[in-house]
Amino acid sequence: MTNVPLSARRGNKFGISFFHWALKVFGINRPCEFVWVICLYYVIFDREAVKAAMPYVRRRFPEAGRLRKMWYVYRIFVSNGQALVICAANVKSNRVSLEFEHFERAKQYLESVPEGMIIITSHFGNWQTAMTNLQNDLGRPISFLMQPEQNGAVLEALRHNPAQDKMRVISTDSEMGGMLEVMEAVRTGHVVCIMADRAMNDRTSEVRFFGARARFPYTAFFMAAKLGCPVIPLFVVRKGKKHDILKVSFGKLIYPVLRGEKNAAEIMSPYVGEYVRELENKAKQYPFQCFLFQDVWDFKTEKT
Amino acid sequence: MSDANSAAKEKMFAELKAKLVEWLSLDDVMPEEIGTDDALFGQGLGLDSLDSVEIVVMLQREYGISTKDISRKKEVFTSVRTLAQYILDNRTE
Repeated sequence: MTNVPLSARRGNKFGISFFHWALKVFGINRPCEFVWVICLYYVIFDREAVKAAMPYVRRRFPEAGRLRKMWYVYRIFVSNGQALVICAANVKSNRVSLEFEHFERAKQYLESVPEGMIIITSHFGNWQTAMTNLQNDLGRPISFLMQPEQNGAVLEALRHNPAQDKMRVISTDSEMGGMLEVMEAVRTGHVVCIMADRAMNDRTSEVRFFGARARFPYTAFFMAAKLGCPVIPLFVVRKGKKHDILKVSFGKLIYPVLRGEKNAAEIMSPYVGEYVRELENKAKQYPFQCFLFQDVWDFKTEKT
Repeated sequence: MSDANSAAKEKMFAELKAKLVEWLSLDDVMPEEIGTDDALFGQGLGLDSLDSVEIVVMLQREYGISTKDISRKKEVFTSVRTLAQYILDNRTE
């Protein structure tokens, strides 16, 4: 299985420039509607992208026939494309407003300790847009653990953010996968955002997801256990047909603890499971905003 | 280098190898199988990024070494030799 996310290999400079121009001229809604046309190409001709989206669609809509499943894949592609358009729109002119749910969970914790914490995010809804707008609301510097070259939209948003001096990217490609920088960041009060839905190596725990065994990474939970800080899941969704209001929901604080003789994957499994249950609930509520694009149910392929 | 210094280092190498096996749960590795100059990460012992976190916590708990500075000194994690030298230079316990 390749470790390069599909979204990083889609789109070209001309396409991106076109959308920047369209956003300037038409605002958010028209370019978001145009995404339906663009994604038609991908759902018809991009077999690799369809193949990547299909495992989730099969589990989420087990009763659907083949044509209907393709329609759902199309809806997911459109939603993903629109999320990128919205992120770009927000970079240029802050057109998106955020509605918080259970924000106090993160805020109260951060007001009680000098150290930071870990926010786990998912390839779900408009995660890029919210991630780059959290700094002002949380009142803490934010670090993003990610592969920089695979997250152009986030980097672009950071470059244009007025508070960019309080945000930084920790590269997973750096020595030791950026783990030492994450430790230092949390110790010095940063909030560190880590994507928790796609496995990039074999550090995964087995959990139930849509009624079947699935593998999700436990890195963020392991780090939190070692650092003695909580993990809080964050989901960002677009409500209804509006393209300029995002609902940012904070989950319950999870306090992972390493104990016993079992291996880390087993010990972390209940904590990973708590997050995955929230992910599943969100996917049930907003099925087309889940951009997993990885077969987390595949136990045959070794992740390297 | 004095004999005392050399003996202290050898003792630290052996101690550190045993602690690495214990802390990282390297069930299929014996401490004496770890070469003092073998690379800890990648090709050598094959540790990964999360193991580096475990090593930092071990240094803190076992030797009282602050995590503050070590996160900027990745060269310390090259081998048992470099790690041992760092401990000898910075230990507080």
